[in-house]
Amino acid sequence: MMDALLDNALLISVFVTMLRSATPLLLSSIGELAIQRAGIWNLGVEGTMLSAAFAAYAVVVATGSLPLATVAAVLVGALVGALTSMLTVALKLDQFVTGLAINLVASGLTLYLFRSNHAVFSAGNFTGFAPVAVPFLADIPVIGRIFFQQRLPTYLALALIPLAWFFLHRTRQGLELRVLGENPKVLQTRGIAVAPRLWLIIVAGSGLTGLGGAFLVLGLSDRFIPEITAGRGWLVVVALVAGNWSLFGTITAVFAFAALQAIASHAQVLNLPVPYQFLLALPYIASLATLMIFRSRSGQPAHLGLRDIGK
Amino acid sequence: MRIITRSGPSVTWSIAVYGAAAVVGLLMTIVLISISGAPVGASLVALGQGAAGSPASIASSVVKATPLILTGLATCVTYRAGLWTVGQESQVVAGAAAAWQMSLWTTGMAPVVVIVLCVLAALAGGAALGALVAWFRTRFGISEIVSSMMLNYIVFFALAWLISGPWMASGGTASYQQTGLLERAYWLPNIVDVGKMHIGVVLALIVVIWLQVLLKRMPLGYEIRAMGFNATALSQRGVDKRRLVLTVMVISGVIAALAGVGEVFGVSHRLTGDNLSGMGFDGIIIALIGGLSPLGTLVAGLFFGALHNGSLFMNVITGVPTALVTAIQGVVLILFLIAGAVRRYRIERA
Repeated sequence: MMDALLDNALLISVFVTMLRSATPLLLSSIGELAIQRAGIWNLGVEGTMLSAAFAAYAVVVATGSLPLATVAAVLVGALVGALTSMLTVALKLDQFVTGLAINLVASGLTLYLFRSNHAVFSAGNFTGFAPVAVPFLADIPVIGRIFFQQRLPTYLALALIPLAWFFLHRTRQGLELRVLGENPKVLQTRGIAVAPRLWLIIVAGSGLTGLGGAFLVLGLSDRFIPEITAGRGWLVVVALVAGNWSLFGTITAVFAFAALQAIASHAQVLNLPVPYQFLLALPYIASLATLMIFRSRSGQPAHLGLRDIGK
Repeated sequence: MRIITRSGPSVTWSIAVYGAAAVVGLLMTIVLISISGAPVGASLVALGQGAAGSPASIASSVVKATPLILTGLATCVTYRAGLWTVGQESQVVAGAAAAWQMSLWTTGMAPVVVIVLCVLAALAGGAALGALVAWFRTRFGISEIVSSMMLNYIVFFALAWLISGPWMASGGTASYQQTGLLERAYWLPNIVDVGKMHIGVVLALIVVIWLQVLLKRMPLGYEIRAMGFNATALSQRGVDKRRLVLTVMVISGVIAALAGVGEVFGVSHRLTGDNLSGMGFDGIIIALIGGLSPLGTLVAGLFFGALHNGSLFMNVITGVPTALVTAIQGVVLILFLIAGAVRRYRIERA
């Protein structure tokens, strides 16, 4: 009886953690999906999340305000998006090299800014988003504990899933975004300027990616450490590839990665007979295995990564 | 005024554009130093002195540059072939780890034998990781970008497990994990008696020349450049693309592994969780700044290697974090990418 109760509590805890660690991945992958469906092979997710996470941290330490910190993170994410747009859309640089450069400069700058203000930052304490129980729904056994006692951004991320689907597949703008990724010439011949659209999509998508980065600091760990993203930006890219660029495929991959992370963080309690480093490596092993098994590329936007975009 | 594409390169315009990028880079450096609250002038002087103020500091700058040049070369060969791998980081570790395992197996043998076997093991380790990425790409159609990045994390956690378990030094703690110190006899020999000028420095120079000749003068180099330029045309000429991908990835793995074994057997003499980290990514930056040419990589590698070395002294004198150089590297990379694009345009009065 006692064992069953414990197992139940443990299982709920794993699921709660899963939703919590899925939040930054969900927010970022929805932003990234919009960008990639528009044909931009944006690999700077890691750097965008990292810059935004640092911005959130710096602002929350300075002001103590969670809304301000969140807004700062979104703005910095959008700013990185603007840089990405300048390099890929205006200057037509190789998109892989651009993304990589964004990641490298973000990694170097955040590390330096963090170290050079160490005295200020290490003194700064703050509390991140606290769980908010949804009235009535939170009282449902098991389900209520898992889904309705989460933090605000988690609710937002979950709500964004149907919204993103509606935008991509049921609105004119969403259709035009997808056409942009398949064949931008179609839009051009209809007299629609491609470059401003791409700017808008990359900036907005990167802003959402920045929100994901903010959650790393404000919702997942309540602190900043260099390289706090720890590969999550790359997992987002992998989720898109593994999910064959469909929204639900991507979301499924994100939840799978989050589940593995949740299990790894419960490794000690679960008493699994493997080194915990193996559990930490598991999301990456699993994503490689996924790509080996599901090899369909039919969902890949036809114009993804090509440089002959608009004027 | 309007902006139009140039029909051919102009030397004057290129010099002006890259010069402007260098000036902006220097200005950014000054801004970054002032952010940390340290005096700018004194910090820059300390940076220069630490990098090249004495024969000893020049020697350690060269030693610092060696792994960066090697990972940069590993980047040149793949990116020229249009293979966008980011696996240099894990190839370095694989090389070092394979060499370490070999040193455990061969303990007690003659030093020359041990060192040669360890270097060979390193090459095999790097080659294996390179081949793995090639296999993922040619057999499963998995982008080398994605697979090499995933392998970076897998190898990172594998190393973390090795140095916290099977290879952990006696007396190591859970918070700081590392292997024991390599036996003195098995260290890579020094070429001159200054600092840690180990034999790997010479190896790096040889690889620079070899790769320069390979890319410019050999049939394989022609195929590599052709694949990066137009892969479809290449397969229509009857070149086996699978084999070429494998060859390129193995070459890059072997070169990056040299960086790993040189660092562990020539400089730190033990494996820790962090003494190899970042080398692969630094190499990517250096190769891109060096225009993906082996000679350009050598120059860029020496420059940033010297800055990395100088930053240690600067940190002691004025307290600026050594991460300054990592930040500058990224900034200069972005500036050079922009310069490379702007170089193709000219402004004309309408």
